[in-house]
Amino acid sequence: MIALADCNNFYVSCERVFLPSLEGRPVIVLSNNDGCAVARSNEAKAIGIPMGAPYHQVKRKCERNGVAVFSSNYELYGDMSRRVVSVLSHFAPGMEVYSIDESFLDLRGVSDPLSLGKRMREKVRKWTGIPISVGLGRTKTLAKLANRLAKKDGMGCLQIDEGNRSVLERIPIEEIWGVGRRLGIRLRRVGLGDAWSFIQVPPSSVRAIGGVTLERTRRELAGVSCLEMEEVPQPRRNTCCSRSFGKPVTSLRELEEAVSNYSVRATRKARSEGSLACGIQVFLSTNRFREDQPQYSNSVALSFDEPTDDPIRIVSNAKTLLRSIYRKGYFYKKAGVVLLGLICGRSRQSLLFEEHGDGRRQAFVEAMEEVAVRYGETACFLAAQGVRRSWGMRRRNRTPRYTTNWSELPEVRFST
Amino acid sequence: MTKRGGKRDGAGRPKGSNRYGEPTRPVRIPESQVERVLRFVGEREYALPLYASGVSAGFPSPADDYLEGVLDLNSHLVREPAATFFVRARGDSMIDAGIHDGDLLVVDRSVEATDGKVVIVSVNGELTVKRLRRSKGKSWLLPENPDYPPIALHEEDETHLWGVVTNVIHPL
Repeated sequence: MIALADCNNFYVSCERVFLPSLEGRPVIVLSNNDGCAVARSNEAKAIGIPMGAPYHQVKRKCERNGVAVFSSNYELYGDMSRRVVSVLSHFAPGMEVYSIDESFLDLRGVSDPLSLGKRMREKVRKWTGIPISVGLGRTKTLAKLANRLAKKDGMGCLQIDEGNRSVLERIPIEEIWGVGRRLGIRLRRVGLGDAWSFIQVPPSSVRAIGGVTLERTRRELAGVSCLEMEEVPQPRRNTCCSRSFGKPVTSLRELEEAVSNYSVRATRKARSEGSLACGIQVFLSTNRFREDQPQYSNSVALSFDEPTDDPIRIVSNAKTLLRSIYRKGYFYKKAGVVLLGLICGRSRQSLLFEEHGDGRRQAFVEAMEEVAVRYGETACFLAAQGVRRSWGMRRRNRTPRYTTNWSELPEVRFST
Repeated sequence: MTKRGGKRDGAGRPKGSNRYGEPTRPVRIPESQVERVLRFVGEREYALPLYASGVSAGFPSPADDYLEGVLDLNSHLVREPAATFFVRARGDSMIDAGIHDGDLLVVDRSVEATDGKVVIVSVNGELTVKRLRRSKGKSWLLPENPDYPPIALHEEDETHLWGVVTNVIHPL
């Protein structure tokens, strides 16, 4: 048996742990730069705020209905996610952390998975304050489906068996994990509108419609496991750091600052995994939704002579690349840096004429990184990263970083 | 019951009849780490002492006679990291409970909120510190300050209990 534990309206639930007054109220959380609604409480869904709705389109509705609106607080969500995963990990010998708010658990050999699922919910709720739903099934696809139903009917924990006709008949084809809207249209055209009728069709004819992937979904739905648990995350091949700017950026100087910052951050990510980068890509683009403005986007990459994790070197290469694609006279909305071909630090191959065999440089970089990691990004940074950072992200309604920053702890009063 | 195959009731050793005296479960471990984990589990079980210096030829250090352990404040104050939060106390004093304005409270959500515990509880949507009284099936939230009345905690309000204060960190 496989369980999918999924946090309910995760970002909203995180906010509610520290602001209990939000309980029962409509709440939404906006994406970077306060662009779109990326999380909605059930109350906000009921008012009719769609997932991914641009905030400016629903602003009036939010104000009329007293919706609490927050900028995303990824420091908080990341920390709460870590806590939920840690509690869940005690329930099963095998676990795959699928996303920030979803984990698959391998419950093979558990005699009463349903009651285990209920215990999981209670413990995660009590220990972290986050409500979760648990879906159980013989395969990942069934577990995912069960989770969806568990959320919908408010049961919180539910099991689906592949032979359960009355349940499967009521599931629209689009709601199956791996089908979605587009494939759903094609399947409906051949008369397959629900999960039950879908598994009555032989796998080979499903393949003709949607290829091997859809065939796999069909088998999974019939209880034959095709998707393995990925317990050890695959080491990343690339790491990307990119953000939309808080306001349009025109000058090369500001872009250089931004790209330098993204390079440092991407390098730090790679270093934390013990990886070296073989190359780097820099990209930038204007706001494609502003049709009234001239549009431009471009990207460029280069390979390093030898794999590196030296932020100074990476930053200076990033700036060179940026200058080669920067054009004057555009309003830039976004820029980013991708470190390419990450390899494990130990498998490093040195050049015949090694350029940076310089131990002092190595020690300097180590010290710089150590300071930045321990005392925060503002404690020690390259001049290229800039001081003012006027291009920074807009997060106007962000709540305090309650669990990751000493100066932003939640406050409790003695009396009311 | 089937005649052959499948699980048989009551088969196998009874739970907890291993050398650890409690139920166990299988865990996947990278092969290279198996020995380290076994060693760790063994140490926990038999509390093997750690000594200050490594094995070396030559004159033995007199300090070897004393056990060494680094005192870690984290492990002392935080029993369950996943369930532990830090909060800042604000407002009128709750000195009788040993809490002052500005103190740092260590709050463990995994601890059972029993009679007499100092708890964090949301009252009217706001997080507050109170002492919990439980007796004869009823629960009360007592402010340590006599100016405020006790609040009855009904069964349906139990979800408002946010966590139990386990330690107060008070700077001098």
